[in-house]
Amino acid sequence: MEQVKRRQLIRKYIVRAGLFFASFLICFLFIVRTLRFKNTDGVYMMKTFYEQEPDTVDLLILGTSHAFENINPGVLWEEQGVASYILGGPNQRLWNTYYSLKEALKTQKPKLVLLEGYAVCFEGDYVTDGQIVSNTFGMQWSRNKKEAMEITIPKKRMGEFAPEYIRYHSRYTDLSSEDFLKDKGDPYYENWKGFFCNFNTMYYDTQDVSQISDRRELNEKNRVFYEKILQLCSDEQIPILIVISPYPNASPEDMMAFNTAEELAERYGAAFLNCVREPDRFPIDYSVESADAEHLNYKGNQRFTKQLSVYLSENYSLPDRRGEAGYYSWQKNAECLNAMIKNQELKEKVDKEKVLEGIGNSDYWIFASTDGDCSTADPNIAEYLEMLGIEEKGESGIWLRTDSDNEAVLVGTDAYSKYYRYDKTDFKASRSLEKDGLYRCELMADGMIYHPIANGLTLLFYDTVTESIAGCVGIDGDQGYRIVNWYDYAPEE
Amino acid sequence: MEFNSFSFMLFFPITVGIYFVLPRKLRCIGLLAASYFFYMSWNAWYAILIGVSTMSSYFGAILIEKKQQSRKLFLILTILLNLIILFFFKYGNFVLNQITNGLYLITGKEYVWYLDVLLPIGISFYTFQVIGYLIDVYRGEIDAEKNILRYALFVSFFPQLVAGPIERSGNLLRQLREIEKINLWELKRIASGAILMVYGFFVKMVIADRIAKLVNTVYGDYAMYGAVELIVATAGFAIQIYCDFFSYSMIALGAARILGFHLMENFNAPFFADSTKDLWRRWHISLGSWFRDYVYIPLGGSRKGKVRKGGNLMITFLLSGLWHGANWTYVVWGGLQGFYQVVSDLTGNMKKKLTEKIGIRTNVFSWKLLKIVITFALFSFSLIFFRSETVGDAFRVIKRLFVRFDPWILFDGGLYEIGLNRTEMGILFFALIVLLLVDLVRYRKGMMIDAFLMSQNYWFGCFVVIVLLLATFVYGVYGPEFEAQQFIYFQF
Repeated sequence: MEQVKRRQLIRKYIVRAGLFFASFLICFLFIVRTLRFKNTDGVYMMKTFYEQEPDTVDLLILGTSHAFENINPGVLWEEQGVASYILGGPNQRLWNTYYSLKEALKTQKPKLVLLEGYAVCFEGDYVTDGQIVSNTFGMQWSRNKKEAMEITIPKKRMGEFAPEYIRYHSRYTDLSSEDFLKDKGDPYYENWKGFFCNFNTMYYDTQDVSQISDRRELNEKNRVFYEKILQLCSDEQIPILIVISPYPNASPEDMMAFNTAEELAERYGAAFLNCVREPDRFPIDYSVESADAEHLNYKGNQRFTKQLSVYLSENYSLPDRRGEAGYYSWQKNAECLNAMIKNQELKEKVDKEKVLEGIGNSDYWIFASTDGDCSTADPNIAEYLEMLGIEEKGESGIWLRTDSDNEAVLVGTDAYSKYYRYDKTDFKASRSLEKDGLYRCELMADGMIYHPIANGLTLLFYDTVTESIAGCVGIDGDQGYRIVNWYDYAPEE
Repeated sequence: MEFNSFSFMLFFPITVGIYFVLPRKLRCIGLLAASYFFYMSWNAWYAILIGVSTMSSYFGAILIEKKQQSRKLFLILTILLNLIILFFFKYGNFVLNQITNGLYLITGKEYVWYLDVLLPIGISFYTFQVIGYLIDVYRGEIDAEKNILRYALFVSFFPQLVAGPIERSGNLLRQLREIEKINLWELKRIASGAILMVYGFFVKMVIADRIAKLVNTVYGDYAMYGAVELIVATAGFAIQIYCDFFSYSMIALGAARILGFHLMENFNAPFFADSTKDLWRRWHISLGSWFRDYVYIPLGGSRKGKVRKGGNLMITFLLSGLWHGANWTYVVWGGLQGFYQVVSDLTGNMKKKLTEKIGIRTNVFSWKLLKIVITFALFSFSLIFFRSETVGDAFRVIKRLFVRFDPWILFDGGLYEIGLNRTEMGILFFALIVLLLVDLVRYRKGMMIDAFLMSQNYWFGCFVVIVLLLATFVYGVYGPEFEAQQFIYFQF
């Protein structure tokens, strides 16, 4: 009897302890998942790389931000059907590239490794804390990661990075929707291939360094791991191509390092393509195609990648995976990138052609509103109304065209207010009578108010592919029906 | 190796694991080895000092017991030896400093004399523990310990070694004598110890170290701040020092409990005290009771009239102040504590007559609350000396309380620019509510958090512990972005 009671008691304690630890673990894992770093450049790249189906990546692209901002996998897919993935990191040193490659080869057997070789220029044996985090924290715990951390972090500072939660436990002040939602709540990351499309445009003065043939010594630690990468590819019998993509502020010192790297690559039988040396073959207009001193923007990366894909098709036999089962994510990724680029073009300098093109895009929801003394009877906006399928005559109000409709539907006239939702985006469309006795609309999306004009036709474009505002324009009756771009006057987010 | 360090997170479970599987006869030596390892993790040379203290008091106690005729002599000699060691390391430079200052005043010449010694961590605590033991043996309250290993463990028991509680031989040594009989696998006791440790870490890492940022910001540059900031920082320091010390005691109690020992409580909801006398029954109980039993009562206590009582109180508190550190600020702080008690004693009857005359009801909540607030204010005020680098600094801080009154910082957001931003203040606020509730339970029901939680439904206890653990993990002040604070009482 005593023994039975004792056994029951022990069982009770075991169950209670089990419940306690299970509850704690669940909560703890949720918190870790929420708080841990999700840097797009580095940590998140590795995370999504692990999610790629094994043996699907044909072209593995490695390197610094020159890799993940200058080489567009969407273009590679569209041009040649190449299934590529960019596994890089900000200012990634070659030792981190080496361990990233080792990690990648656990699950992928690429047909070609492309190393964007800008990192050969770097000096110094250690990097900043942020770069340590970006280049190591994304890896799953393994001997490979341990070695990567040991080589990246000074020994006496190891305690500041391991365990990792020491670094991110205090991120509670930085949390955003990205930390809670799957794929950061952005459809682009659902099929992400490691690419960051830079939409800035910044003119940068360049100097011609294409003729420099001198060499200089590389940082010893960098050189050692550069050779390890070459050797690893050789051991794994994977061809490797080192590419120096064009960038605005290439300096003579950089070129000298590239020349040394090229010589080393030759020793290992690796191909080396220095695009900076061949501006005629890889032309870039830095006045409109650079994002900053180091990177190409969306125009530049498209152009360069097209040129690169020609080179790849001439020199390598990378399979064309378009239409193949298991490669749907590359197709979706390319479509998303195209949508983002189209949206950017609609946000930048807009003209009538762009606006009509936008209206013709069936992926867009469009809110159309006649404001002030403008109505559908106004002949200056007839063309836009016709494309939208608005048939009401002499009407003033708000119309909505969703992606499933061909025609815009009149949703409100006079004083009106209604909420709409597409996936995670909230809209409010309202019209109110103003002091001058005229009605004007206020279109709100995710807390931002879009109201470019006082009299005329307002068009708000929402892209259902990227789930973001694609553009907002006004055909301004007060300015001779000139097209006014809301983004020219928009407050900074 | 501090309690709030990764090394301790490794050390403690490993120690517990080994200890639990050791044969009973080896428990004492196992814990002793762990204790010395713990202590030597700061500095291996410390082992020599604690070893000297241990050996001298071990033999001293045996001689006190055996040599009845010269027992007083052995008592004095052994105490003196330990006090000399303590004095040398703790007060040596302080004394030299006073001498050189005095010589400068007399001769006008500057002298630079100092001892290049490190203050061994915990020396004040284990020295007093050892002295208490010697006196207990002298008084016949306990037999001298013959087992050197057991005695060494009593002196060096790692949970309470570096910052107390200052244990009594009648408690800890008696338990150590029964070490082989302890049933280690008592799950309720282990759970209770774990709860205490979890709560201790929460109080230290979420409250004490967070509020330290505000205190350090203001006191580090007090001449830039006005009365309101200084009041907030001073009250903050009172909370910081309480939370810091209390948390250490909780972790010590919890760790000891897991190992099968019950240490004495060091704090009993001190900020619910309604008088300074009551405060000292609740604050740093082990030190207060030590001074009461080994200084105040031997001096005569309250048995020799009011004047003598006042004098005894002042001596006791001045010494208590001096125990805290080699600086006049601590002496002044101690003196203030004594002064409060003496004044309270002298004005007791007068206060009673006055309240009766005015018609103030004293058996109501509002009166009790007023007394609690006044006690807290008086204690906090005295801590200005405790916190300041010099007595002069302390007076300058006090002066600023009166000459620069700036209440607008309570409204214009200035409160969030003295070390803690809005988010951090919010976290601190909620954490203080937790502290208040736990202390309230202690005050009203006499239950510590472990007893309270274990008296509730299991799911509630689980929920609270999980929340405390996760809050510590997320909001704890640790990692390279923060300057995790060393426990304040380590410096004593």
